Amino acid sequence: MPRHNASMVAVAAVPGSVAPAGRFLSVTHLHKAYTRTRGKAKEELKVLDDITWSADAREFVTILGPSGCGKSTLLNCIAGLTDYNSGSIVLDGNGIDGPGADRAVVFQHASLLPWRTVARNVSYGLELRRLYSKKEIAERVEKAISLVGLQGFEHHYPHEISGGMQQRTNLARALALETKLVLMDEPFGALDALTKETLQDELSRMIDRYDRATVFITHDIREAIYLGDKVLVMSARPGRIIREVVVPFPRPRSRDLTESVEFEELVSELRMLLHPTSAGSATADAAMSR
Amino acid sequence: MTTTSTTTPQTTLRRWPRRSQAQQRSVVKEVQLSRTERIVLGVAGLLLTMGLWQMLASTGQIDQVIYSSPWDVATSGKRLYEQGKLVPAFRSTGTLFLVSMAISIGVAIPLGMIIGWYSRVDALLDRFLSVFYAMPRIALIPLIIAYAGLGSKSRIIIVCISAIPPILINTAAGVSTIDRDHLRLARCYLATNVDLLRTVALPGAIPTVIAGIRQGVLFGLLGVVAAEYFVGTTGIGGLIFLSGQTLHNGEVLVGALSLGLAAIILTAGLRAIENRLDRWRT
Repeated sequence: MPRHNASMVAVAAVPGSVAPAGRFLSVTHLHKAYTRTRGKAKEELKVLDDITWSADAREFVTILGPSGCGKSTLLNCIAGLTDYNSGSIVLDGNGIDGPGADRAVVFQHASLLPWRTVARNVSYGLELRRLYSKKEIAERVEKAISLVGLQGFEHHYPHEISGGMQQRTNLARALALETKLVLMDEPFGALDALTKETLQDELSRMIDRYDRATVFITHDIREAIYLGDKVLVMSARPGRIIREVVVPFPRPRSRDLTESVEFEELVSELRMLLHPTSAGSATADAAMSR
Repeated sequence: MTTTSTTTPQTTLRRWPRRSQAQQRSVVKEVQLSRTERIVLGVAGLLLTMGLWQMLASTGQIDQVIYSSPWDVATSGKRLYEQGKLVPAFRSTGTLFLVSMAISIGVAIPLGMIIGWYSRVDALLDRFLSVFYAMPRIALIPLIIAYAGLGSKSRIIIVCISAIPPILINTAAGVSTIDRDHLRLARCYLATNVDLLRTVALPGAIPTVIAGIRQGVLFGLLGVVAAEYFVGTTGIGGLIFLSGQTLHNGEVLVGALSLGLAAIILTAGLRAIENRLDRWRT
């Protein structure tokens, strides 16, 4: 893969090129298909087609693609929740073949346990690790809760807090584990526009302070650029990586960035990739950016 | 008073008659009663029924020997109490009920957990349990008497077979139903099977288990009366049986009403426990 330069010109990665060895996370020639039986005929449904990319230890990679392109499946493969047919996923030198202590997942739906308070939901992953004392867990939970701005809501039950706060809890639960890799599956997808922007801003600030790799799935072009160091654009099914874009904007980033001409140019460039037919039309604009 | 749209004239043949917004709202509007209003109406209903019953009995419209009357019930209750029959009967019935319920819960919840958790055990016992749950289990009383005789052992067994199935089946259903998102979460965070049971399946099953216990309590009360009727005529059930045979129908009603009262108190108590354990639900 060519070395990425930080110019406005997006650099394409040729699908099929071998990820350089020694990267923190590398996904190599990943294929996945489901077989469906219809009567006697077996139908093969390709979901992921020759996916190859890699990420550095502190990189924030966003994977952008239309609904149903297999991006969540890709994330599940990395999380170790789904099998794949061929290829490999190597994280920090270890092949992935199941859920592991080196990864944490932020789910699309908050998936909070309704009978646990916010604090006890955040501590859930830590408790299951069985490595930490009660005191250590409490300290880590407190830290994660203040990181996502949930102080004062520790003893609330999930049904007592808003959707945005539930997602913050979801985020804190993953961050409390302090893993080297965090996987986020469209965590802000179901939130209202205002809450979504607030959480994006806060996540962006967290990235600046935090020392870990993140894979973030989204179908929102602006979100992908605003948060990512690198955007992988996926095509509709079967999911292929059609472009790998290094985001040229320096961190820390602020909301003002999204108003800039350069940002808009990158947005329309990516929109063209996702929507080759309706590029530039105002309706597509509105549809894709929300 | 708001008028509902039932008075809308049906003059047009339009399929979807257009209504003004106000009319639409009046259709879905629920009548909201205040708490005091509900209580006042409830007491009024009770007094009205009793008054009518007493009036029909006093005027000889209905036969007091068969239908009794509120006054007759009250004096029967007083007489039974003064004769020292009521309190011991209550104590005996209460003991039978509590001992049997403790056994039932102690047996049904662990067994229900096993059935709900291990699908092979579930498959193995499913047919048998379905039949056992559906059948009127009181029909087994002759077998139980033959096995355990005419003592308290038989009575306890009768109450237990009444109360166990609903608790068992609800517990199993509660434990076996796990939210897909929660399963994914637990797997992601490296939960072992025991963790999954402990942190997801069991807490999630609590509402269903309590619903099962509440059902079990009502079935258990049925079992208590049946047991006391047929095995040794003891307690409130025995009292009802003997009074019925001597046509003291006021006394029969004293027994029946006190059991009804006990059922209401027990159900309310369980609901209070449920609310405490269930704070996490809306």
